[in-house]
Amino acid sequence: MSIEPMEKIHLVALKQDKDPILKALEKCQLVDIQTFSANKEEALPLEEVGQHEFNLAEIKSTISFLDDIAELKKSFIETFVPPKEETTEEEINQTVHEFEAKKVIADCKAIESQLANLNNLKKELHSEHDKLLPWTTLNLKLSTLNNLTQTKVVLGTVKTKGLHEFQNKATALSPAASINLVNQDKNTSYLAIIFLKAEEKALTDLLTKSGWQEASLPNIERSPKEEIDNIQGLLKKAELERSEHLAAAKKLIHHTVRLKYLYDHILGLKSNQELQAKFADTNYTFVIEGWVKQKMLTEVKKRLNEVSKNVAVYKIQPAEGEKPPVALKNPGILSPFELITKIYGTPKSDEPDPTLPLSFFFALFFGLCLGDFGYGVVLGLVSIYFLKKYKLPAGGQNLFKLLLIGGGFSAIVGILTGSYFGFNPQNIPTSMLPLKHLLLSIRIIDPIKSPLVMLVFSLALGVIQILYGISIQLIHHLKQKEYVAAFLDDGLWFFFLASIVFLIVSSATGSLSHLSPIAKNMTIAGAVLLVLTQGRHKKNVIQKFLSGLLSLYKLSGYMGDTLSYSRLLALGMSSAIIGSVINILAGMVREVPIFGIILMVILLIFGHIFNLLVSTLGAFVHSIRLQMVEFFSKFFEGGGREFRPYKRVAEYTIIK
Amino acid sequence: MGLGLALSMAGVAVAVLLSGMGSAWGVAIAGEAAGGVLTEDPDKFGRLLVMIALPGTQGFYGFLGGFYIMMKIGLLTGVQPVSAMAGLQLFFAALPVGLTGFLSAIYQGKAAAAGIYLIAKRPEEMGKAIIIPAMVETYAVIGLLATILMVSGIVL
Repeated sequence: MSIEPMEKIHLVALKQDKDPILKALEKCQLVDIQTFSANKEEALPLEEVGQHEFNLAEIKSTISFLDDIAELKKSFIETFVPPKEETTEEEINQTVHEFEAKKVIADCKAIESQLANLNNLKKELHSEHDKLLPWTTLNLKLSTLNNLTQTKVVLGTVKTKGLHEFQNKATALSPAASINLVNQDKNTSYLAIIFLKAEEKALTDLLTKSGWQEASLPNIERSPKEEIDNIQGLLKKAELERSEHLAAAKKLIHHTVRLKYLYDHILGLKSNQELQAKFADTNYTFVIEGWVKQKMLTEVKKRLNEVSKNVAVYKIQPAEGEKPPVALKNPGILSPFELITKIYGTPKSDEPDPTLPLSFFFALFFGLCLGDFGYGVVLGLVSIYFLKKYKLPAGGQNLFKLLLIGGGFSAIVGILTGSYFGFNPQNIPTSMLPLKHLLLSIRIIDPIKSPLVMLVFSLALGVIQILYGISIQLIHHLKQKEYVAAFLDDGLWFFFLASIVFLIVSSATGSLSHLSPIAKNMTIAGAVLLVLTQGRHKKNVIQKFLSGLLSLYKLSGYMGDTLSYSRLLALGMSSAIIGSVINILAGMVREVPIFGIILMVILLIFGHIFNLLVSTLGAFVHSIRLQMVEFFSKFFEGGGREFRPYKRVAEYTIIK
Repeated sequence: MGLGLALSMAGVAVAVLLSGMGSAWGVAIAGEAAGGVLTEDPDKFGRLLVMIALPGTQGFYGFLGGFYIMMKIGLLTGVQPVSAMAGLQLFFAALPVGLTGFLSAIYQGKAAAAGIYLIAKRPEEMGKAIIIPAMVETYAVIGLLATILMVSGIVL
């Protein structure tokens, strides 16, 4: 609704009270601490911070190692919202004092590297095994092959297709050579060739030409068969060792929680150090500079006085041109809509907060885009379930609250347009005539039968929102005492656009047609005034006139913006029609004998869930887009700095 | 009557085919990008799934446009006589959703891939990453709208 007024403060206290004061500030979460303006640079103790970062990285990798060992399966929801450990400060402090993290980390590291070694070993053994496997029928020690004096033996493969030809050629070349087929499959033939050393050269040439692939078997005192048995023994041993290490690691899993406590503790130390670098120091005192919400100033003083008597908090003047950080202030029902504002960007400190203006339009547009009673109700129920079941962060909560509100609007739109899970009340059988009459009597339009009416309605909503946007800008300019901009820019454009709308309406409707000459004159007057005023920043008369004339071109922008709202009709129809298609298909499979009913139910459930997901995504995205592109451009820029009060940083834990 | 019906069927086919192809293409582009990101951080699966789904809507718009034509000629309830000229009109009416769907889905896939890289580095900016590809989709929505309005204006 608006932006909180801020106060810039200095907080001066004794150094001996530093820890309790920081703790109090951390707890109350009210002060956005900034670097003391006179500090030239932040005196960050780099070495200590670096040490903390190193420790954090080590703990984190240990935690993720233990998580892998524990084979934790994260649910789909948990990937969005990682579950956190609830704990108390005492518990964390106790952990920090008693827990021998170094030992656990070292143990985990040792196990991890041994597991990695074993994995490598297993891979090597497997590849060795696969290499030897085709040669198992070769019943001799492999080392003997290398100790021959007169003859030489080579092992290798040729393609089975060319085997016959190769054999013929080799026998022709050297009748003494013996070619033994050791093994054969469809593609490859495994050969052991024995030949005289004297004939080596000629034979080698033939081998290269025939696509010979030499097998590189180990030079060992065992036959391939024996070696394979040996390898299998080694593999078994490695597997045994692996499971021992895994068991050892499993015994360490219960340390994960404490590692998480420790991690968050160190994270806190690090953020504390980074924070203290922002302070200014004297011999005995330190000074904190920061921002507080105006209404919270006394609260801050009260909280600090509870921990120390020697604290001074006082307001100071912000520096020239310094902009306060921005906190949005909206009543509970509107606060979920702050999500949309924040997705776009925090408002500047002197801008209007767009949250209230966009809230109704967003909800209405979402309702129109989803546009079905059943989907709206289901979406609302699902949102309530998520809000109750999961401890969501603020952003997630706001998202589901938005979906809940949007679901409500969509249910209303569904009633008014007669859409119930894509089912049209027109098709209710006559046996339930009262229900049919009831539903049809509260239906005011059937968008599928009369899309043009809905189109006009969508565009009209667009016109209203655009004019509303311009008037927000106008009011804002008035508040800022920029009267010229307020009347000549916003006021004139509002008048001009409103006249055009008036002109269109009066000429399109019979009963108002007598007003259309007035509307025409108003439009012309508006255009002339715009041409006369919009070039007022230019220097000479010709430039003034030309740039005034050119400003009318902005009209095409407004037209484009308005047409963009036609998506409301298109998306609304798409969810309704896909829903009805699912129903029609379900009606068709019902004819299937025996399984018909089951198939129908499955199709209905999955079809509608699917359509609900897709349509909700579309409704959400496009309703936001209309706010950001078509609406915000009229009055809102964003780009302020968000108010971020100092609070506890933690990744794994929540203090109860 | 035969030719008119055939032409309107061609219209249905064009609407569904083109936009469906575009969506498949676009989803694949986004999916490839997401696969790369997931090798580094599998926990982002849920977030990225939304991004991958974004270019998939065009396929539905095309189906919708096609379905609208089917309803117009009563294909599911009892085929009505369609003159050759009306069939040709229906065919042309199918083009906006088919072609805008085809091209915009591919380009939306690219924009979604860019958004996926954005999420990879700054997961907290997911809202912005979703909005950018949605800008591309606008023109498919307009195409669908044109098709629907054209179809509803045609006299069989």
